[in-house]
Amino acid sequence: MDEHLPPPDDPRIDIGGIKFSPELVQYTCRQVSSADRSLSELLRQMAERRINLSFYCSGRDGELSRGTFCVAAADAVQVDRIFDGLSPDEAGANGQPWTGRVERITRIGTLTIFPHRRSPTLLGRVVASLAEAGIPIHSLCTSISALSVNIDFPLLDEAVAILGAVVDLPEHHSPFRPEFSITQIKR
Amino acid sequence: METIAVYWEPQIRIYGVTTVTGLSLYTVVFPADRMAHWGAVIASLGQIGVTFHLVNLQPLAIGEMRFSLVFATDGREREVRRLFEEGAAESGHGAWRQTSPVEMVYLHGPHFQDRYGIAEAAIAPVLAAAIPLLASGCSGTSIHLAVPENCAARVVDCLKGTFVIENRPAVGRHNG
Repeated sequence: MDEHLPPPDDPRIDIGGIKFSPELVQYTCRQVSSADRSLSELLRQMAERRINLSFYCSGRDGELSRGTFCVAAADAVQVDRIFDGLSPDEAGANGQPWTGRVERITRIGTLTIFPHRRSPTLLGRVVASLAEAGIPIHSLCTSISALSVNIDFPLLDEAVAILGAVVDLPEHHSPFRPEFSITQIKR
Repeated sequence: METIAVYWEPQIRIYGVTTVTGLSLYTVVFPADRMAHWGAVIASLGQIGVTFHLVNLQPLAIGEMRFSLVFATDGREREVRRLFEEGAAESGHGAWRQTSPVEMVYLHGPHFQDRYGIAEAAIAPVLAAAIPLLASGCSGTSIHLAVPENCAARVVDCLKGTFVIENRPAVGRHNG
């Protein structure tokens, strides 16, 4: 990490830790008209099939919504099947097929940095340093205490090395990797 | 090794719900190759003492991204606007927009990141009630919903159908 030491006037920011996700797939879906209920329908069907969304965020394109979410790589086949089965007419999408309004990115990994202390300085410097190093950021979202950044899964370790110039981790800290998973089942 | 724990709840329990009013939403649409530039602009907001309630970043059309940032500007509105204006000043850097006031509802609960149906439980009732969801974020154990002025109380009412909201939510006010 020493090769990324910050300039003296730009001190590193203390954080509590960094966590990695397992491999994920990211989807971004846009609403095509105010009558388009496809996104709600998609969320409903994913819940019905017990597919967990480890990440969801949305924003507005004028009057229309755009949602970005991540699922475990193993669940992506099921999500694709839902897309295939959704009728654009039933969902109020005026016959517009999903192709062209859904973006799918495979091999995503979430880098979770905590705590963010609501600090734009930490968030901005994380974004800037990853981007300057050529690591594409596919999406991000803040939670009550953590910053979740979605990047390419194979680049998670490299990203942490780059962030060594920005954040100060506790001594002997190495990123938490998922050693087990929690799955909610219904009985 | 597999460990099975059994837990049942008729409605999704949460640790609490909070509403905050008097916030501002800034959205920035920019070419993806200007990511480092906008990261630096956002970092500079921290230098003037602004704190965020929610930030998300989404891909738009090919090669474009959008930041949605919900801030309590706490009287620093002019400085924040100046930083965004300067950030977008050069051609090709992107465009920004401010919406204010906006309101925020946030809630958090046990293992939300590991459980299916949580995002749907939070978002579907809001959309069904035709409340415009300006920005949202569900990550970690929390859910943030940014809505227009005078909508936060309606959002809380909607969420009472899916989450256990026993008391009146904590309320914050930011005079930004």
